[in-house]
Amino acid sequence: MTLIAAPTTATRKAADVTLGKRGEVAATLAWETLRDQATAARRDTTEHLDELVAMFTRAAEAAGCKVLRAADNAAACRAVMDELGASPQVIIKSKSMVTEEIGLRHHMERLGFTVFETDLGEWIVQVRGELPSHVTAPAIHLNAEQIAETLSGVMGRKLSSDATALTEVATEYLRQPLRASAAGISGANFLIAETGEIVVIENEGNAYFCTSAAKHVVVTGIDKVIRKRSDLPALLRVLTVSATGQRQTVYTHLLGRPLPGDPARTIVLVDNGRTELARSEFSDATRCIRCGACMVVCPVFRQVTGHAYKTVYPGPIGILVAPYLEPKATPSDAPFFSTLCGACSDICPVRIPISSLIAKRRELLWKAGATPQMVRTGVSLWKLASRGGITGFVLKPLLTLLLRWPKLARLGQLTRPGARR
Amino acid sequence: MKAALFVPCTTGAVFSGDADAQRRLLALAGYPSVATLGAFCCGQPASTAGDRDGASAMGRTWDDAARGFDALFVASATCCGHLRHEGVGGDRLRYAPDVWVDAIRARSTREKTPIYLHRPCHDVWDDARFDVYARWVEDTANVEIIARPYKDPCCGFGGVFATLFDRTAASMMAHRIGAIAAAGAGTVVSAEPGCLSHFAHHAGGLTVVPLATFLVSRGIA
Repeated sequence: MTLIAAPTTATRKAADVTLGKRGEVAATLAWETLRDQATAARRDTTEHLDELVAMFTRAAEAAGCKVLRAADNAAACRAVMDELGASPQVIIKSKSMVTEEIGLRHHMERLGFTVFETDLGEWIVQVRGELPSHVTAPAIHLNAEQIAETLSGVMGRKLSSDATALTEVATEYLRQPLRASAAGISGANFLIAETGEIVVIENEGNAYFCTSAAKHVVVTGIDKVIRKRSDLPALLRVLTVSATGQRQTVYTHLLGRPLPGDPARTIVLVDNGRTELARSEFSDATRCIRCGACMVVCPVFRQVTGHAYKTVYPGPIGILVAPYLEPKATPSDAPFFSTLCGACSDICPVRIPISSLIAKRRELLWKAGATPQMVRTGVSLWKLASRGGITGFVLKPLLTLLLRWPKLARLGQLTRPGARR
Repeated sequence: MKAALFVPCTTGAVFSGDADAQRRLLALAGYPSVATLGAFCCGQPASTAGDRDGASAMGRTWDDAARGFDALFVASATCCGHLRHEGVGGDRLRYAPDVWVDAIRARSTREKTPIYLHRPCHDVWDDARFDVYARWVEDTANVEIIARPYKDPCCGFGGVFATLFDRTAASMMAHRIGAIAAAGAGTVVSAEPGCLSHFAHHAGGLTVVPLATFLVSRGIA
């Protein structure tokens, strides 16, 4: 596994804008108090996951929703398809990392369905055949010229890179499927256990269309559950400020009991490793609210962007959750995609000690003998040199050479098949 | 008082003259006789690699070497922070720049020059103390410290990170170097040998100098 080294100017530029806005807005709020409240609510989720999921299921069913539980990716895709029926249809989707995680769109397309991602960024990466590069900003790795080139291919004409003009073109194009769709699929930002309500926040208005299509299927992780409505204000505030630097998003939907004439609603609750994560030594990561702040502040993510991590959930939090939610996709040396600078822990609105947990993942690798050989060899040499004696006397000049010319460390790699670089 | 200076592996290898400069500053701060601690490494490389047992063993070795000394000076924030985290050295452990900031009141008479003072992400200081330190460097060395011209919280070193992903680490550093040069500083100064070695390997046209060496070059000691 190799982290790509190409500088991603677009990612850093967008990240700087987000961090700047976030800092300005957070300074106007009782930020640390909000973080404490949000952390407490999410800790409750982590510690009482089964209880809260059961409570939510009862409340949502009482409110007239159908609730299905899916143990893994395949079960989740099956559950959605059972709800949509076998005949291929036009489906609209709003942005959802869980649907990316379970590969839902690709699964539906293989079955002949036409699926439109209606979130602008998500649509752009759909057209490009890419994964989202960030959990809230799927196209953060692209600049305006690259987006114009992508959309020019869709429209069959040359588009300018003016952001407003591009947005207008995309809006007009995406309005067509909104009217023709048989069903809408959305994710959820939170699930309220005491009321059975689904919380969806968005800026573009597309999620509204997805949730009010003829049929609405919610696909979300069981970890989105929170105990009560009164937990919501702090969580929404820290989520929006951390994700986009907004005090609140343009739209906040609380979907409760469907009114007469409302679409039938099915909720697919996906486990796919979440229960295991919540019971593991990395359970703090269950608190994650998918704001992506740890990504925009991470010096590695800012350089390589999300695709370098090879998982749907990239960045520092991805290093922690992907081994549970995407074990097959997670590179074995992912815990080393970090400088352990600690910025992720500092910025996390729900106080996940991300950096310490990444260090703990490195410890697991070491104990399993799975640490990259170059690192194991280096540490072994350092340990020997530290012991002193004749071995230390001999080794220190060698290690001095390695510190002066670090590229020497790669000499042993060059002759090995599958060498890193 | 029996005092010793720990010269971290990176300082010894990449900035070998800095140990003497550190000793001169310690003498100016009231510690005229400081031995060199017979320890090669604090154990941080093992810790960041995930080898907890190895890090603890290296910490014990360091502790053995420190036996009999009343004061232990370390000029690397990350080494000092790691040793404190491991509980090694106890109250005897002092971050050398802490001592210099509090005790040295000399002033450079050299012409004022702009520098970039790099702060490691694993600093032992909080923001307020770092500000005191930065003002002290400005006054003592007669320099103008340019504000960090990039928002990234880390230079891209990260110990094993830069070893495993050298091209990525190099491109991160190229960005920082470009931003620093564009901001008008021709010199990068830091008390952190790890970060500084990463700067030095990719310096381009910038001069990269450890803090003690820089202060001595400004006529402080």
